[in-house]
Amino acid sequence: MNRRAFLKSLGTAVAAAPVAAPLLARDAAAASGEQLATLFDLSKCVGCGACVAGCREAHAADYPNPQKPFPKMYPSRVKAEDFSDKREVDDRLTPYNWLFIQTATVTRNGKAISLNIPRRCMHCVHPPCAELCPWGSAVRHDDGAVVIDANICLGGSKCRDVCPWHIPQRQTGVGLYLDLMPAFAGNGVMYKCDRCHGRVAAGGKPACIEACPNDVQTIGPRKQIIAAAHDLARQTGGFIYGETENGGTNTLYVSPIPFEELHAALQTGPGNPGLQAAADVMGKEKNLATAVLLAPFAGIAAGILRVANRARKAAKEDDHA
Amino acid sequence: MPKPLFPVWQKRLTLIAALGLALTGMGQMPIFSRYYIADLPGLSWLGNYQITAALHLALGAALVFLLTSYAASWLAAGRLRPTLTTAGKWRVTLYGAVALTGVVRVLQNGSWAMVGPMQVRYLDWLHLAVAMGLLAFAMAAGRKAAVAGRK
Repeated sequence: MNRRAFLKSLGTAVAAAPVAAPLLARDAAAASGEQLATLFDLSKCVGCGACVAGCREAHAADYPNPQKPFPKMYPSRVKAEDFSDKREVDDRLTPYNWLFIQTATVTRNGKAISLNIPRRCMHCVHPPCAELCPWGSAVRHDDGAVVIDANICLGGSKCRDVCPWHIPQRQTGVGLYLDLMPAFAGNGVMYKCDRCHGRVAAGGKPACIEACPNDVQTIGPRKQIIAAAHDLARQTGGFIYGETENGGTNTLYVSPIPFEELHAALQTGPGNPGLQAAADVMGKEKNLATAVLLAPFAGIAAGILRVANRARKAAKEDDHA
Repeated sequence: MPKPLFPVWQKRLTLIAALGLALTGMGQMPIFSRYYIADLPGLSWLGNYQITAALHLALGAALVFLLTSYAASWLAAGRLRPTLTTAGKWRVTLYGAVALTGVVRVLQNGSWAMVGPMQVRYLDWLHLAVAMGLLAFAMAAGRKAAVAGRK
């Protein structure tokens, strides 16, 4: 292919852009109103822990029961992660605790104010855990719930690495990897909130919402929840978190205190996510994904142009002969 | 003398893209960090999912461009169309399948999901299996000609 042909094929790709771009319209799914989102009114949360207890009760059967001793893993840098002897821990995310309450104390007008913040998976609109999982074990359902299938997860923890809040938590000694090559690949199963996908699919509500005595949390179509969050923020002079973080999530918080201040007041670390400004992880790849979808148009144009060039040259040579 | 239908530079680019995709595809699994490969000087990027995923997409775009260019040239060549050998047919099938499953996965991550949430795993497994098949084919019969005679 010569330079002119290349430029022509590039032009074809640009012309095809309007066809390919809508396929990657990242807001289309969110705008359809089919995804469900939840809204936390943090001014109502008293930190009673009823939601945490409700979650643990509803998911008791889903928690891991690892086989011990764990299979030896190679190389030696691969460490087991084991919370099976710390199942009662409820001040952080663990494989046995998918929801916990953070408390942030900030000083406003010389007065200390404490705010309780229920924390769990944010259920992103474009979840990097699901979109980058190489094994297809993390998925986003049509209702917006992001769920890890414990039956096939290998516990590689990529989902935790790519999550802006590092939400999923690993338990070693359980799951499919034990039946494959436990010494050399995998390390258990990743666990996190599934927003009670089964209960919601059956027409119910997430256990944390049902258990809350103060109606801190509501669930509904994403569009309505966003509108409700803005109404609440407007009425109370509050601030919103989760609408745009990581390109948009299905968990919105409304707080009377700016989230920058709350984040600064939190002790973050493993199992203790922050409230930082989270960049859109999957959005960074949008242009490259568009290039993949445009490539066939450019390739077809390039291939046809090459054949046309060959035919023209052959005809010219025939004329000279 | 017209230039060959499938020029050498395009074949070399295809090989480079395929090797790069194999490397960055493996990088989508937590292998390089676990097995110290990302600890080697100059290879730390292999342990960074953001980088390997971006490179995988960029190389994927290049490979899809090259493959569709081959296909269009072959189809448009008319009476000059070269005949595919058995190795060539295998190559077309494997490259086509790996590219197709990759493009469907890209669409899945956009807003045009073609498979249900619980079927994404089969798409991923198929993509991985075909890529492994392509690797096995390349090692066993990678040097065999894809077309019967150069035209």
